[in-house]
Amino acid sequence: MTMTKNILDIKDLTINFKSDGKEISVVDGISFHIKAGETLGVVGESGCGKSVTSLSIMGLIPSPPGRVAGGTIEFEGKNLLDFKEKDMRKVRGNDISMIFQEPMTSLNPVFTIGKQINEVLLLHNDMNQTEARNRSIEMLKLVGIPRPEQIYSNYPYQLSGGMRQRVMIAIGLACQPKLLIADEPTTALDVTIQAQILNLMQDLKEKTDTSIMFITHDLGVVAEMCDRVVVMYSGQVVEETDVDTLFNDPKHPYTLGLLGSIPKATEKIERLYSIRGQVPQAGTVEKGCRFADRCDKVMDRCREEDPPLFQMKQGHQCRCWLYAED
Amino acid sequence: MDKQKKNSPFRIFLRKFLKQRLAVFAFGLVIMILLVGIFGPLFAPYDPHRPVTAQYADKGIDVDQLTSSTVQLEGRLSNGEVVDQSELPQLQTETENRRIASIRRTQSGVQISANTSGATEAVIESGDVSSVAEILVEGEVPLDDVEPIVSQIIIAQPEEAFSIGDEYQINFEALKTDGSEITTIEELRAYTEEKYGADEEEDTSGFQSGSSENEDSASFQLRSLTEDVVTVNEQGVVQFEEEGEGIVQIQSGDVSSVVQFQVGNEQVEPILTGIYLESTTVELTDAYKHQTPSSMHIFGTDHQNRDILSRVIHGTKETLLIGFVSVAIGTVIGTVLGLLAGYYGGWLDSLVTRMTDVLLAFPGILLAIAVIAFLGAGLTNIIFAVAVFTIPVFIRIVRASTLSLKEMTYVEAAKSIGVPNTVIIFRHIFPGTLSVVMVYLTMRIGVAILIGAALSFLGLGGDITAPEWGSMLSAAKDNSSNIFHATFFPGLAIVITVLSFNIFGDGLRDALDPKLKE
Amino acid sequence: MAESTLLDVKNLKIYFPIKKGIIKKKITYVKAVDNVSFSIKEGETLGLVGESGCGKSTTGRGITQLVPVTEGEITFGGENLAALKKSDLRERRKNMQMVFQDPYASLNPRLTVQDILAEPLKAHGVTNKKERTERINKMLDVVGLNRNYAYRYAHEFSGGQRQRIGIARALILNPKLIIADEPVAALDVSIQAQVLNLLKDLQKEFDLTYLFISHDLSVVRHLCDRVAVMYLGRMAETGSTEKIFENPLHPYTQTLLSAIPISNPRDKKERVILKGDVPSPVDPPKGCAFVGRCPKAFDRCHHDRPQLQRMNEEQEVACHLYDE
Repeated sequence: MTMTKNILDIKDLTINFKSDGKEISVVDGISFHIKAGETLGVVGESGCGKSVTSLSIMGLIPSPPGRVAGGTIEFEGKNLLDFKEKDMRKVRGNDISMIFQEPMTSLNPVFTIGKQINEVLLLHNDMNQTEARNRSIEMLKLVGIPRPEQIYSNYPYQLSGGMRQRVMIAIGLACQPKLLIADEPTTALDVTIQAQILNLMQDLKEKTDTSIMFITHDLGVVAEMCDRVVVMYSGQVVEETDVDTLFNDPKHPYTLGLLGSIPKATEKIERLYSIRGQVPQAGTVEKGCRFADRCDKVMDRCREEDPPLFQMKQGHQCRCWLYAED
Repeated sequence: MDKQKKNSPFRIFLRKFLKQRLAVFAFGLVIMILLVGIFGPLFAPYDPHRPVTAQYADKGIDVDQLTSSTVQLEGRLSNGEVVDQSELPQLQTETENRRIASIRRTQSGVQISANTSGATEAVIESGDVSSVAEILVEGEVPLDDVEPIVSQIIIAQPEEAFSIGDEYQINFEALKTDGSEITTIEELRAYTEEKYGADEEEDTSGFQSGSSENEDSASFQLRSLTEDVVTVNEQGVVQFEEEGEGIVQIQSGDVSSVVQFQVGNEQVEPILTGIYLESTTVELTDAYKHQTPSSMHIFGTDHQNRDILSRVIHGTKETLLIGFVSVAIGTVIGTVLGLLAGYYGGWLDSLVTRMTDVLLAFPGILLAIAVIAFLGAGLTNIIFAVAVFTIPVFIRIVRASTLSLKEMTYVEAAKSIGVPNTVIIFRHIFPGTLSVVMVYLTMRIGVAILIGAALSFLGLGGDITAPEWGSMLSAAKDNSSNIFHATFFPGLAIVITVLSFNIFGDGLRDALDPKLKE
Repeated sequence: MAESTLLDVKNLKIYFPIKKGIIKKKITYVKAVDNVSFSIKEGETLGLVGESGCGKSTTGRGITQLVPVTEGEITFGGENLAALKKSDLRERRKNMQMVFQDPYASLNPRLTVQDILAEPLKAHGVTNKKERTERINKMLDVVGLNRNYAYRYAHEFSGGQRQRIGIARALILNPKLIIADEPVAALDVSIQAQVLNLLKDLQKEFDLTYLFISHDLSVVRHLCDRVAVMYLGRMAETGSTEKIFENPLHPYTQTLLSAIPISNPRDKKERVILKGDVPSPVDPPKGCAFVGRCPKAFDRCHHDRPQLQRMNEEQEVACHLYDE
C-alpha cells in the first residue's frame, strides 16, 4: 500500500437543514478522504445526503435553510470551512470543480460555449482573450468534441445532451483542478452516451491526474469508474472500502441488499432481492441504527444504539453491530 | 382521518396563507368591506340621498341652533338711559347679502342665520342711527382676507346745555370689529371713502344697480339734522344758532350715530343716539353644504349637504356589486371558454384566441367606454362593460394553464383509463386552474372597482346623484381646490378597497404557489 | 405453441406534423414511429428497448390511442381498434391499461388515493359505492399498501408507494394488457427491485400480459420474455430475451449491450463506443437509420432501408449484414 497524501479529508461533517422551525441533520458526522489521483465513489439512494456533502465541499450549501453544523473539510491541509467567500471563489473552478447531473440546465443558454469556458479561464488565470480561446478549443478537443472551432461559437441549444455534458466536463477541467466532483454526471444520459462519457472520464483521469469524487446511485457506474467507495445511508457513511471488496465481499446489510436489488444484464435471476420499506426521511429515526427497520439481520441492539464504524480490515469500515468485537 | 385533513391541499394552502401577515390583514379588510357592503345601509347615520339639514329634525337636532346666532342689542338714549331692543323705534334689520345670511328680530335681539358660506354685514337701523355687525360664515369660501369694518360709532354725549353762540367739538369713537378705534374725522372719512367709495366705483362701472338710498349712505357724512338750531363744520365743530334741540349725525356708510344738544334751557326729550351691539362679529358655520368633518359628520357633507360617510357606506354596495358581478361574469365565461379552447384545441382554440387577441388589443378602459357608448350609461351596462374586458384576461390565463395541465401525465393516465373528456376537464384540469383563477379573481375585482369608479367619474354611470364612489368624486371634483373632504373620503375608500383586494390576491398567489415552500 | 396473440401491431406509423409559417403550412413530419410491427402473446412480457427519442413511448401511446395513429393496424384481442366506434373503443380500453414513468406527475396531487382508484371504476360504470370501496381495498392489499392510505393524498407518498398506487389504478379494472412505460426509471435501486418483483407477482396472479417499455437493458433482461429493440422510430431487432442478450445480431443491439455498465469490477470488458448522437427524426438517414453511427456500415446501408428478416425461430433483424 503506497502512502499517497490525502487531497481531501472530511472529518465529522454535520450539515443541518431547517424545516418547519426544526433543525434536521441531513448529513450526520461523516468522515472520508480522497487520495491524490484517486476516484472515490459516493453511493446512496436519493435523500442520503450525498449531493449535500458535495455542495458543502464547494461551499454552496443554500443558507438559510442549511448550515454546516460541525466538522472539518480539509483540502490540501487547509480547512475550507474557515475560508471566506472571497477565498472560496478562488478555490471553486480552479482547485475544485464540479459537474452536475443536468447537462440541459447547467449551461447558460444565452452565452456561447466558448464564452462559458473562457469565463472560468479568465477568472482564475492570467490570460488574454486569445490565449483563453486557444485553451478553450484545446479543452473541447480534449473532451472529444468534433469540430471544436465551430462548437466554440455555438450556443448550448445547438448541442445534444451528451455534447453538453462533454462541455461541462471541459469547463470543469479547464483550470486543471486537483479535485473534480461529478454529481451523477451520466444519470440523465442514454446508455450509449453514458458509455462515451465514462470512457472519456477514464481517459482524462489518466491524462490529467485529477482526483475525482464520483457521486452516483448506479453501482454499475461505480464498478466501472471508482477505486474506492463510500456507501451512504440516511446521512451516514455505512460502509467504506475499495471497489473490489465492495462488490465481492460487502459487509453491511444495506450494501448487500443494494447489490442484490440490481437486475443483471449478464444473467437471468428469477427473483430480485429487495430491501423492504422506504428510505426514512432525514431526522425521523430517533435512536438505533437507521437501517434497522429495513434490515433482515436486525437485532435488539440495533434498535437501541446507533452503531459506530467498525474497522474490518485495512481500509474497510462498516457501520453495523454484526461486526462488533464483543 | 385527522391526518387526511391535515395534509389536504386546502389545509396546506391555509397554513401558507396565514403566515403572510399583510395578506391576512388585507383579507380582514376585504371581509370588513364586504360586511359594510351588505349591512352598511343599516347603520349609515344619514339618508345618503337627502341633505342632512332636512334630516336634522328627525334626529332631534335643531338646525337653527347650528346655523344661527342671536345678537343682543340695546339702544342708548341721549340721557344715558339704555333701552332694550323692543323699545327701539322703527327698527329695521337687513343683511347686505341675503344669500349668505339673513337676519330677523326676536324677543331679545336679532337672530342671524347663515345660508351659505361667505362674509357679509348686517345693518341694524333705527331711525337715524344704525350699526353694522360683521357676519362670517365658514364654509367653502375662505374668510382669511376679510377686513375689519367699523361696526358702531359712539359719540360722546355732552350733558350740559349750550347757549347760542357756543362752540363744541364733537368727540367720537368708531369701533372696528377687530377692536381698534378711529377717533378723528379725517381717519374716518378716509376709511369710509376707501370702503364705500370703492363699492360705488364698482357699481357705476358695472351694472347700474346702485340705488339712490345707497348714494346717500355711501359716503361719509357729518351733518346737522336740525340746521336751524345747530350747524357743524367739517372739523366737527358745532355752532349753536338758536334755542331748541340740536341733532348732529355722523355717518360712515351704513353706520351712523347721532348726538343731541340742548340749546337754551328748554328741556329736550331724550332721543336714541346709538345702537350698541353685544358682539360686533358673528361667526357662523354654513350647515347647508360642504360641512367640514366634525363629530356630527365625521367625513363632512358634500355640495348638496349630504352626509359623505353615509354615501360612502351606501356606495360600498354598489361598488362591490360592480366589482363582484362583473368579474364573476367575466370569470365564468372566460374560464369555460379558456378550458374548452385549451383542452380541445383546433378551430375552437383559434377562434377563441383570435377573439381574445382582438379584445386585449384595446386598453381596458377604452373598451369599457366603447361598450357604454354602445349600450348607454347605467349600472348594469357598467357591469357588462367591465365583464367584457375581464373575459379575455381569464380566457388567456385559463387556456395557458389548461395547455400545461393537459400535458400532465395524470391527465394522460385518465385518458388511457377511458375517462370521458368532460370528466377529465372537471376533475383534473379545472381544479388545477383554480388556484390561478382565484388569484386573478381577487386582483381583477380591484381593477374592476377602479374601472367602474372611473366610468362613473366620467359620468357614464347612469344616475350621477347616486351614492357611488366614482360619481361622488366626479361631483366633488369642481370644488376640490378648496374642499378637501368631499374628494378625499370617497377616494380613500376606493384606494383602500382596491389595495385590499390586490394585497389579498398577492397573498393568495404566494400561498398557492407550489414553488414557495411552507 | 397454443398461446394466442393478444396484441398485434402491423406497420404502425405515427407522424407529428411540424407547422411552420404564418399560414400554418404543414411542411415536415417528425417520424416518431415509422413502420413498426410486433405482436405480444397472452401472458407474455415484451420488452420495448431503445434510447430516448427512439419512439418506444410513442408506440405505447399509439396503442392506447393517446396519440393519433397515422397509419397501421392495431389488433387487440382479435379486434381492429381503428375499426371500432368511439364508445366501443372506450370499452376496450378497460382491458388495456398504462403504468407511467413519473410517479410524481402521473397522480393528481389534489386527489386522495381513494379518488384516484375510484376514477377508472366510475369511468367504466361501477356505480355502486360499496362495491367500489371493496375493490379499492382489495387492490391496495394486492399492491402491498395499507388500506388506511386510501384517505391520504398522493403527494404524501414516496416514489415507490406512488408507483404502487399507479399500478393499482391500472389493475383495478382487471385488464389483460398492461403497457408499462419506464415504470421503474425514476425509482431508487432498492425500491426499483420491490416494484419489479411486484410486477412479476402480479403477472402470475392475474395472467397479465406486459408491454414493458424501458431503456434499462438489465431490467428488461430480468423481466421480459421477448425483446424488441427500436432505433429512431424503426424496429432494429426482435427476439427472445435469451437470444438478444446472448447473441445479438444487429450492430446497434451489440453496442447497446456493450454500453451497459459492468456489474462487478472483476468482469472488465471490451466495449464498442459509438460515435456521435442519435440523428433527428425529422430528417432521418435515407437508408438504414443507424448508418451514421454503425461500425459495420457499408454502401448498401446508405441507400436501402433494411426490412426485418427472420434469422431463426426466435429472432428477426433489420440489417443488410444478414442479406442473402
